Order: sequence, then C-alpha cells, then structure tokens
Amino acid sequence: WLSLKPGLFYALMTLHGAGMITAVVLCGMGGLWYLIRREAELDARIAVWAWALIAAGVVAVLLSVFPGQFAAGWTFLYPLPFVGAYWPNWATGAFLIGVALITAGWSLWCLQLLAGLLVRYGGWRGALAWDYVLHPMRFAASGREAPPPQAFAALVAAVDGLLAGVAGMVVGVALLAHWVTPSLPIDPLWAKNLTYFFGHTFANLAIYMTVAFVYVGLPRYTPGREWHTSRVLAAAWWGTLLFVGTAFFHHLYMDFVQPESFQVAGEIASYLSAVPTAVVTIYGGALLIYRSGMRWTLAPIFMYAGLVGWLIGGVGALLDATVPINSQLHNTLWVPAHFHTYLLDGVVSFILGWVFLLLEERSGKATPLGSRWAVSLTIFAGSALLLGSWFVSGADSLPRRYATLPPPGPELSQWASIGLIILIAGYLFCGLEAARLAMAARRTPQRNIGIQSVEVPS
Amino acid sequence: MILRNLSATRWALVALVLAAGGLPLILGPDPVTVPEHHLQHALLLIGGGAVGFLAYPPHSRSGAGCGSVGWLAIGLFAPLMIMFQMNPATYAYIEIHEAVHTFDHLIMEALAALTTYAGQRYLRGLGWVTGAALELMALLAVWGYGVVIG
Repeated sequence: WLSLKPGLFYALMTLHGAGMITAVVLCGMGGLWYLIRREAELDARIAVWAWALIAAGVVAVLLSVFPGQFAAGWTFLYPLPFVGAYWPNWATGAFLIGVALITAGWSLWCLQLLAGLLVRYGGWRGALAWDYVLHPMRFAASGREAPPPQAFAALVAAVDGLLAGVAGMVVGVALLAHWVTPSLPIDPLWAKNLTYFFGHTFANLAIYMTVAFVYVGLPRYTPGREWHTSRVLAAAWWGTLLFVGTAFFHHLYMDFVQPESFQVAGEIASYLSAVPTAVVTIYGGALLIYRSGMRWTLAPIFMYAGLVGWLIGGVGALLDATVPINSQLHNTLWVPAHFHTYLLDGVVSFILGWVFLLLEERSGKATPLGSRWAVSLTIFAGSALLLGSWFVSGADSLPRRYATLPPPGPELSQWASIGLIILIAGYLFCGLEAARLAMAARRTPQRNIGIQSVEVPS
Repeated sequence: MILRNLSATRWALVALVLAAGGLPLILGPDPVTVPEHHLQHALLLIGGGAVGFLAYPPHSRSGAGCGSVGWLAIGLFAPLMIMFQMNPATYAYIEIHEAVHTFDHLIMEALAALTTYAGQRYLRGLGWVTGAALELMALLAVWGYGVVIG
C-alpha cells in the first residue's frame, strides 16, 4: 500500500539486513557469554570491548544509510558498492568500516570464548568431549564430567565464528583498500565466495548460539528432567562444527564458473546439517517435553515454538539447497521466507523465551492465560501469514530484493503486510507483559527464587 | 648441552627469518606475479609466527587461566595491520625500492611474531589459533586481493 522510492527501499533493505542479523547475533553473544561464564572464567572487560566495537560498527552502518543512503545490500557484494553508486563515496567507506568493526568485535568474543572453554575443559579433547564419546569407560573412570550442552553451542560458535571472522576481515580489508585506491583490482568471484562464507556463517551461528537458551531453559519447566550431554549430543555437535562451515557452498550453485566440487559439497553439507538439528535438538526437545508435566508459561511456549520454527524454516532451506529446486527458487522470495522463519520464529522466539524465563524467575509470576493466548496467537498467526505469503511468492517465482514486484507480488505483499501488522501487535503485547513482569520482579523481595515457585495462573 | 643447542637453534631460526625478509636487498627486484608475491608473504609470516612461539618462555605457567586483555587485542589486531600493510597497490613502488621492501617484510615478520606471541601470552596454545588465522588470511589473499584470476 505504501510507495517507496527505489533508493529508499534499497537503503532500508540494507539497514534491515545488517541491523537485524547484528541484533540477533548480539543477543546470542550476550546470552551465551552469560551461560558459559557460569561454567568458566571469562573476563567481563573483554565482553564489554567486544560489545563496544560492535556498537561503534552499528553507528557507522547507521550513518552510512542515514544520511549516506548507502544501498548496496548488507552483502556489500563487490563490485556493487563501487559501480553505479548514487550515494556519496564516504557512505561506502562508512558501511565497510562499520562491518569491519562488527567483525572485529565478533572475533574478539570468539577468541575469548574459545580460550575460556579450552581452559575449563582441559584443551580441545575436553571441550569436544572426545574421550567421553570415543573412550567412555576410561572417561567414566577418570571422574571427569563432560561439558554441558550449551558448551558445545559455544565451541561451535567460537570456532566457526572465528573462521567467518577471518573471511570477513580479508574481504573487508580488500574492499577498504579498493575504496582508498579504486585502481586496485579485486577478483569478483573471490570476493563473492568470501563475502558469502562470512555472511552465511555469521547469520547461521545466530541460531546455534541461541539454542543454548533452550538447552538450559526448557528443562527448568519439565520437573525432574534435564537436558544432559550424551554421546549422541556431543557427536552431533561435531557434525554441526563441520557443516556450519561447509554448508555455505549452497550459495554458489548458480555460479557456473565455480568448481563442480563446490556445488557437491554444498548439497551434501546442507543436507547433513539438518541431521544433528533434527535428531538431537528438535527431537530431543520434543522428548523432553512429552509427558513431562510441562508448565506452559510464555517462556517454554516461545522456546518450543522456536524449535518448530527452526524445523519449518529448515525444510524450506533444504528444499532451496537442492540444486534442481534452487534453479527455480534462487533469488526468489522463497529465500527471505525461509531465513525469516529461522530468525523470527526460531531465533527471536528462543531469545524471547529466555527473556521471559528470567522475568518469570525473578518475579515469581507468570502471564495470565488470556494474555498467553493473545501473545501466542498474534505472534504466531501474524508470522505465519507474513512468512506464508513470502513462501507462496517464492514458489510463484517472484524475485527477492525488488523495490517493485511484478504481479501477483503486490497482492501477496498486501497479505504479508497484514501478517506483519498482526505480528507487531503481538510483539507489543509481549513488550507490555514483559514490562509488567519486570515491575513485579522489582517488587519481589527475593531474587532468583527459582522457577518452581512461579505462580502459573490458569 | 641440550639447552645450549636449543638456544643456538632458536637464534639460527631468527637469523633465517630475518634473512628471508631481507631477500629484496640481497637479490634485488624479483618479477613475480601478485599471487606469487602474496604466497611469498605467507611464507614470511610462517617464519615470523615461529619466532613468536620461540620468544614465549618454554616453561612458563600453563593452563592456569587466561592472561591480560591486551594480549588478546594484540593477537586480534596485529593480523589486520599486516593485511593493510600488504596492500597490493603499494607493490609497484615497493618492488623497485629494495630498502623499503625489506623494511616492509621485516615489519610483517615482526607483526606475525607478535600475533603468535600475544596468543600464547593470553593462553598457552592459543598462539596456534591466532597464527593459523593469520596464515589463513594470507593464503586467502592469494586468489583475489589485488588480482583478478578469472
């Protein structure tokens, strides 16, 4: 219904992409750091520095878009930021510097987390639970304990995150050098490969970081059950460690000049990446909940819904990762549909679940039944309509990243907009309820009274 | 006896690394392509990184905890400084001025040494991670930084 100038559309699209990924990754970084600090020694000053670098990067990116009007997309895909740019040259530099700062802050966090895990669990063998999986009897006799599930999420985030940071820094420095010296040649295919390895891995890790909230939080609502480290869980995360780093090859399917081995690797890794997720985390979560006497406050509702969202988004991703299907869905609205499912109905749900867990624990209260229904219905129905419209659009070959869509794009966009309005209403309900619980927490004399004491209104 | 030999070996390695960095002064201009030049730099960085490991005291306290924040920052930012220093736009000038070229190489080696040393100072063993990240960056640069392969 709204008509935006193309320049403004692409500037907003750029800011939205960079901003939202950075926002959810920041939530994951903060939460996972908090969870690991309960297990290992981590210096808070390093975390503050990491946050400060990222915050500075966010400011630079914001300035590049407002007032710079940088609109090359968050992927800053070479040579696009430099060729045919109608925005001022300084805006390109500001954006690239911003992303470089964000990458530096991220890499600092990864290094600290990795070091903390290695110290706590006695090196790589301990952090990977190598002996626990491969020499269980010897491990049991040693009296050691395997790392908790959230430690595996942290290890994968640290290692694969560092690899992503390396790629991001190399291409970032190259682009900055080109910005300073426009005659400096850069191989476009090389830049694309590095950009997408960085971007895919960075975004993908948001899910794996925030699933740690589910590992720790969901068992608090299932009396007498815990989510402990099993040999299957540990081995599954070994797989994730490998697949997160190799699945990015599915971004190269349409590049006919790439080696065929890249396409094969992308297909295999993308498919295999679903196995640990589905078998261990999603199935494991379902079994944790089944006949557990679960107390369905907003916290477990969001966490459980996040697992469902991850599953649905994952199916969409697997379809798109199948080469013959990708040739139809590539660069259609299917792509944002699937990753918004992961991010909105997966990552954001995990984050909200953790936030409400903390609010419920500290206030000793939970959301009334009517409000639970209102929040759940609006958020999940709204997102279903929004994302469903995009999936249908993608199946109808409507292109992504178009300021003006061909028919039936405008009609489907109207339905998506209705879904978005309902979703925003749901988040507003959510915010009000969170504020209510926060005020109740301030009035509660005891802190950390435990989830068992939470009154759950019927 | 072993310690004296170890010291001699260390000094020999340092001398070798310095000599490698000084090759432009010794051999003069070398007509290599940009990718080959990047590979040469990657080799120099291995040497520099090795020196950083050697500079770390062999019997220092290990595994008791992490070191100072500053070492982590150095281990992170030193590779970035090397990447900026390796700007291919400077190659044409540097290759005909051997003294500047040599100085450039020595700075790279020093920063590489600092990268691994800082990693080790933060946590014994982390120098391998920071050194590997640096080397990976240098190798990745071969295929597209300052050159169009396709």
